[in-house]
Amino acid sequence: MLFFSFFKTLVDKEIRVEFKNGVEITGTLKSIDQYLNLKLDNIKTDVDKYPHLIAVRSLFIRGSMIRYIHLNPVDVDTSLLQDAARREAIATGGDKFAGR
Amino acid sequence: MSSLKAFLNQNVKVITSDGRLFLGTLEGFDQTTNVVLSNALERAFYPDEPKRDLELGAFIIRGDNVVCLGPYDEDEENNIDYSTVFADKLKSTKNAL
Amino acid sequence: MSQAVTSSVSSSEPLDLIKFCLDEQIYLKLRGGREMVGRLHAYDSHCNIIISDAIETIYYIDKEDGEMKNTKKKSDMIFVRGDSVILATDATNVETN
Repeated sequence: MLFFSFFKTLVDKEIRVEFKNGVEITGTLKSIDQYLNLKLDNIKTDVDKYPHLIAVRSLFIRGSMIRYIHLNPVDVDTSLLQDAARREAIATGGDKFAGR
Repeated sequence: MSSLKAFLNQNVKVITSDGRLFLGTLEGFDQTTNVVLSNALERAFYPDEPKRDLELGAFIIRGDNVVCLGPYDEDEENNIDYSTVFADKLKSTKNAL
Repeated sequence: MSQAVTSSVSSSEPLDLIKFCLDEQIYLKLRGGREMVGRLHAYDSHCNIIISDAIETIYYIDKEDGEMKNTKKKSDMIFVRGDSVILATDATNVETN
């Protein structure tokens, strides 16, 4: 849930997605679902190297095929993220300590 | 939701995990990204010769194999001179080094 | 009761090891002959991770001389998908070369 919520805050921001096959695509994040499938608009890619997506503007990306997503640091509140990660750790892993 | 609904009945390009490219009309899809294409063709690019298209008709692509999928602009696509477009085969997404 | 034994350990499960790296330098070994070092900001149970000021090292065999070489890539802020992660540890545990 943490990353699903986090990526929802990046909607309408530009991100660069690197697939597991090495292809990189830059675009504006338009939507995200619980599998971290993405939808990008105004995609840009190296058409000389990868002519496959010529004339494609908007793209659905399957989350499982993503290796990295490069983000703009100004779009990311790191202290908020760290707090959320600690809270998530308690919520998911720390069940057995809940009663202490 | 990142639903494919917006792309239904449009002409789309699909890249699969083995590095192949398919073009076709998106007839349907489900939660696991299984997709059905009609009037589909497979397009292969080569480093030293023009691309080739292979007509395949209608088929389903299992969701696990879909890398990405997007509608393309028909006019823009038809204006591309593919006789001068060369490219290496895309890598697979599985066990890629 | 055996419960007292398990709960007396401060780090009780694997992902707690990553928790202690929050806001610290973390080292990741990744699939495809890759490593990444940077400051950890977020992770989840799938080992999805966000790192800032990341340096990625990609190891490969040079086709010409057959030697192992590496290239480095920097990223100010990067999300790493958990299914690529082989291991994660405090970066001070790892010799950096």
